[in-house]
Formats: sequence, C-alpha cells, structure tokens
Amino acid sequence: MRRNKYPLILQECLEKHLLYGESLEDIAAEYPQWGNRLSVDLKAAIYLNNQTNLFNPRAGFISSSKKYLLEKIACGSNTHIIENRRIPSMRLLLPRLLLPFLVVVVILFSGTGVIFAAQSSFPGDSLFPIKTAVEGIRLALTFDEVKDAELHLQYAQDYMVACATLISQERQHDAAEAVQLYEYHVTRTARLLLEQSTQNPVVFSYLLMDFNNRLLQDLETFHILLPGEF
Amino acid sequence: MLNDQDPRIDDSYLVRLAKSGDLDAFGILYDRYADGIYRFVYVHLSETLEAEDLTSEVFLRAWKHLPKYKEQGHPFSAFLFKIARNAIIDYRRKLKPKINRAQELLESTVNHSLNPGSIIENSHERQLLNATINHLQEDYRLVLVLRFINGLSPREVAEIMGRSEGAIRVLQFRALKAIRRKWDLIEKEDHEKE
Repeated sequence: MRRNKYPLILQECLEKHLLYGESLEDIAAEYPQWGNRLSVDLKAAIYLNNQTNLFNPRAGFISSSKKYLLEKIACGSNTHIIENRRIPSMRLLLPRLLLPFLVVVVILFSGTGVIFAAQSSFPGDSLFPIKTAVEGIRLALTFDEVKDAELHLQYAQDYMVACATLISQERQHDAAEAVQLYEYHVTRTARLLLEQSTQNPVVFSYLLMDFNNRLLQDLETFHILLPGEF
Repeated sequence: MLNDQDPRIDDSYLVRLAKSGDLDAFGILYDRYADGIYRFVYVHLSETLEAEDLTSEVFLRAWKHLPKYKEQGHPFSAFLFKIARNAIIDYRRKLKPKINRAQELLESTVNHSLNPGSIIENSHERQLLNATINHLQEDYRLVLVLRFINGLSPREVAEIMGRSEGAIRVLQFRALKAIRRKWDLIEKEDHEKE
C-alpha cells in the first residue's frame, strides 16, 4: 500500500516545487515518512528540469527554419490548402528576396569594404550577421557537393580560429557560439562525405583523409588553447 | 496581423486559422513549439543537424495532418509530440540499413574525443546527459524528456504516450530511479579511474 502511494506523493511534491516554487526542504519536512528516497528523486527531477537550456537549438535556427518551412508550405508541395499551392504569396516571397537584395544594397552603398570587413568578424560582432549571410549565399550558390563539403570545412576552420580568438579575449559566450557553428559545419561536411562514399568512393577517400588531417590539426589547436581538456 | 504576445490568441484559435490556410497562425504555433520539439528530437538523436532536419519535418507533417486534428480536449502540443515520436521511429528505421563501412569510418573519425564541443563544459554535460538518457528504456526516456526537459504536464505526457495519468506517475518514478542508478554507476566508474 505504502509502495503504491509513492508515485502519487512524488508527483504532488514535484508540482509543489515546479509549479508553486516550494523549497525542497519544506517539501521534505511535509513528508518525513518518505525520508531520503523522496529527496533524491526530487533532486534528480529538478536537475533534469534545470538542464533544458543544454538542449536548446543553436542561435538563429528557429527563425531561419521557420522562414524556410513557411516558404516550403506556401510553394505547395506540402500544403493542405489547394489554393495556396499555385502561387506563393508576396508576403512569403519578399523575405526570400530581401536578403540578396539587402546584400546588394550594402555592397552598392558601402562598397565591398563592409563585406570584406565582415569576413574577419566573430560571433557577437556587429558585422557578424553579414558574414553569416554571405556564407549562406555562397553555400546556396554552390551546386557541386564536393565543393559544398570543402566550403563547409573551410567555414569550420574559420570558426575554430574565431573560437581561439574569442577565448583569448575571454568572450566565453561568443566562443560557445563559434564552437556551435564549428560543430555545425563539421557535421555538415561529414554528412556530405557520407553521401560521396557511395556516389564517388575515390573522391570520398581523398576527402576523408583531408577531413581527418584537419580535425587532427584542430584537436592540436584546442590542446594548446585548453591544455587541461585533452 | 496576428500578435503572438496577445494572450487571447490561444492554440485552438491559431489551429482553426491554420486549418483554413493561415500561414501566419501556423508560424506562431511554430514559434511556440519548435524549441520543445527540437529538444525532444535532439535528446533522442544526439545530432544537431539531424535534430534540425527532423524538427522541420515534424512541422511539415503537422501541417499536412492538420485537417485530421480534432481538438476535443487533446492539446495541440500532444498532437505535435506524437508526430515527433513517430518521425523519430521512422528516422531510425530508415537509418538502420545505411550503416555501412563508410559510416563506420566516419564515426571513427568524428568520435566523441575529437568533438570540439566538449571544450565547453555545457557541451560536455549535454553529451553525458544525452548518453545516460539514451541508455534508458524507451518509455523511461520519453517520460523524463517530456516531463522534465520539455516541462509538459502529466496529462500532456499521458496523451502523447497513450497511457493514463496514473501510469505516467508510476513511469516517472521508475524512470527517475533508473537514471539515478545510471548516474551512481558513472560516478562509481569515475572514482575507480581516479
């Protein structure tokens, strides 16, 4: 009987803490008969609840994926509304056209200087959004998967350098963003390589070797940067 | 123009608008739930890129199946998480036959020790937590992720998992016990290594 009642008690206690903010000590005092067992279960649950931010998506993912998703739906292949299938509305086409347009405007009015300056910007810098926009455009305009993989690998290296610089400047938060972008480009390269493994085994083996060498170089850099970690 | 901050705009209203083809309304639903769906998918797959692709896939499926969704006391979040759960199952099913030599080679190259994310303490903790959660049996994993990582109510979890609230309470208690055991085991192994 006592055993069957425990899940209900645990649930009540979780609600008291998660919804009403009661402290663990107060809750434990209300249920002395459950002693340490209740306390450790609550601590485990609260620990998990506090880790939500560890699993959040990278910065900018929600807004960019939302734009892409809505465009895809509006373009028709996945819509359940027949009249929306034919012509994507201007409301959805505009944001798609806006980015290249803005890049052209920036080039026209400020010369290529801004674009050039943006290339050496890091996460957290004011010109950084221009750098990521240019990267996105370059990737979008690359139709060869091998070149795509090389470009991703090059960006990964850039972010590794950015990470090193940001750590030396004690900009930990920006460094974390650089690491996330590094991971993103490395993973994207790995995926493209995997596709090449079946399509073009010779190119694959060459790229894999290059990829492996570069990762080892990165590891050495991280070793210098953070000697205690490796 | 719809304003997401307007408290009068609840999910049911947005779903009704989305069903009639309003993409703005569906966009607000995306803003509300994409984070949660991503976390749910990520914990199961442990891969950023896959989790991103699958999150978009979940919302595409949701849009397709929206006409079939009848509220009648079933929250929209439950509808989405059910789709996410099925999408993960489909993804794993498709993935299995693809495991070949090339993939093994790649995995040996991009292994955890080479993962630069681990230099940031958060990434290391995330990987560790992910690994622990992924070693649990499916229903324990689901209940922990939905209840604590995603902060859903027992009723919503019950709805997604197709169980009663009472069963979810029991699962929750067993799952917490199981993950505590895993942590104890890891701690013990770490002590032995030292």
